[in-house]
Amino acid sequence: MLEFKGIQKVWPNGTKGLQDINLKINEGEFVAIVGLSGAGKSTLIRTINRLVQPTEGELLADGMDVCKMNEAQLRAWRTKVGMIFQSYNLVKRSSVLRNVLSGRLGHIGNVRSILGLFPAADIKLAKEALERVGLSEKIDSRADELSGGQQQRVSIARALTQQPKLILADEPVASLDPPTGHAVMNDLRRISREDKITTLVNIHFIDMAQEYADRIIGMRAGRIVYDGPASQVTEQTFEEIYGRRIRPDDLRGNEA
Amino acid sequence: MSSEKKRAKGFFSRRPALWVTALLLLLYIVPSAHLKIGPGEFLNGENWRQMADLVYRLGPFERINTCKNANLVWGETDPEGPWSGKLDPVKVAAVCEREETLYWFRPDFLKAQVAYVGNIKAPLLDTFRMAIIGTFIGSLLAVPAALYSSQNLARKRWVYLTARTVMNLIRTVPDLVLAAILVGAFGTGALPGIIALSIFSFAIVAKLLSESIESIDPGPIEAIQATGGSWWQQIAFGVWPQILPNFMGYVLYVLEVNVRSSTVLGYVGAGGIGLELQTNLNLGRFREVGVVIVVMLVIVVAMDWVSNKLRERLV
Repeated sequence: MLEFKGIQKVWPNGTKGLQDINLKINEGEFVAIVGLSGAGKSTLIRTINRLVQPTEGELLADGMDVCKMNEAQLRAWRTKVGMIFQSYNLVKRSSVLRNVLSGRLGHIGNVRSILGLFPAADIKLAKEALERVGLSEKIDSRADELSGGQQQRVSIARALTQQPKLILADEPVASLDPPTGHAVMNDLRRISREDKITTLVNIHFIDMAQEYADRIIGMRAGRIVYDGPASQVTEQTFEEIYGRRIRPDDLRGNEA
Repeated sequence: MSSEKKRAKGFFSRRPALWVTALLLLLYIVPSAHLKIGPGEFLNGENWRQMADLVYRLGPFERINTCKNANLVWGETDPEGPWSGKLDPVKVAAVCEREETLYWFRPDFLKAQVAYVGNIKAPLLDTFRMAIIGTFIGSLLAVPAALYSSQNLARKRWVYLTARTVMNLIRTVPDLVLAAILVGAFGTGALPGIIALSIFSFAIVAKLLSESIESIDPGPIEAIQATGGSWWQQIAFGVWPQILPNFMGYVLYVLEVNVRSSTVLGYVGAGGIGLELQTNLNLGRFREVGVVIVVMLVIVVAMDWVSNKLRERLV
């Protein structure tokens, strides 16, 4: 469903963010992208919804080149791609429902959305999404009243409300404690399976990558250095990806 | 992690308190040496006496000049006059060694002052109306201006730079000059005052708001962008909730400033209590001036209290 062809990203200051990325992501896959910080995981994931514009190459999504989409096409593409961030990126002072509803913005006009007039169907979608992440009773709370794990679930619900074909998660558990992190990963995994949503997760905890992903992609210095099924990955593979020995802080630990 | 900010390791960042103190001292010493003023000027008793005199004259006090240490001057008797031959010297005059001003509290003055509050009700209300309308129009227009002059929201650099330059130009014009020009164009009355206050509020709110916008968390904007939201939706959902409390604070602050400055605007003919103030000052009716000042003070304090309460609700 996604195909990278020779994607390059050179930042304005000359740093090479991505080099020669050739990659195929299949429908329904749950992919973990591992690597040290600065390896280009975030950049890679952000080229998919063009929060980062690649400097070279093609990125085919359902046969269309994301890099060449115009404004309207890009917005239409983004509505199909849910995104989850390390710092949740919720609007803290807004209610949980409003945050979740913002997943529908790509489908309604400027005036309607600014006035907050969401169609009843959208509100229903948002409520269902909140139910699926177990936060129905928090619907009217302000986002900053929730715990970190709950906030990340709200952001998952926001992505779900988009009814996405693809979910991108950029270090979704890095700010969470181990049990909460596992719960969030479980949610992501379950939703990916149930709705057949292709999911790409950036993660630097190797044990979590192995536990939840079907496929692991290793990155170092902007290049893909490993790509294979999670079942075949060993500690040695990670040492090759990281270019150093595995340390205790590369592991998240088990569910407490 | 890309989102972690790197700490600056410069020379100046090590001892911030020291450098800030040094900078502030420098800000005092260099210009004051040039202007040839020192602490002596501030401590000069005569200046403060003048100040105190003014303050008394604004209140219900009567000023009486009295003589302190009157010295009697004794003269010799005229040797050829009718009193010649008398042994006693004659009192010639009393000379004041030092004059002293005394201030007497006059309850009748106070009564008149209290009664005067009733007289200025109408111009006061006018001032209030001018300030509120000016604040409303200015703040409303300031929102889009602030959006266009914030670097982090700019889609095109030239739009941002133009907006910023225009905003700076508008802020450069003193409100009094603005009001004077507008009085020239529209004639005396409330309208030029309202327009002047609108422009003035616009410039302040837009500036403060654009600075707030530049310091917001970019995360939510990115999230809205990622859902396929348009620029306006990013503003409405990602930016607006973050700056709303700041915006309300600025509006309330500018309303306060406007109530105060609308008094001064009356000076150039822009209506309201300012006209009353000017007339009183010109006629030397200081007690009436005092009443206007006290009423303004009460209003400003009351507004401060109300706006604090409102802000507590909003944040």
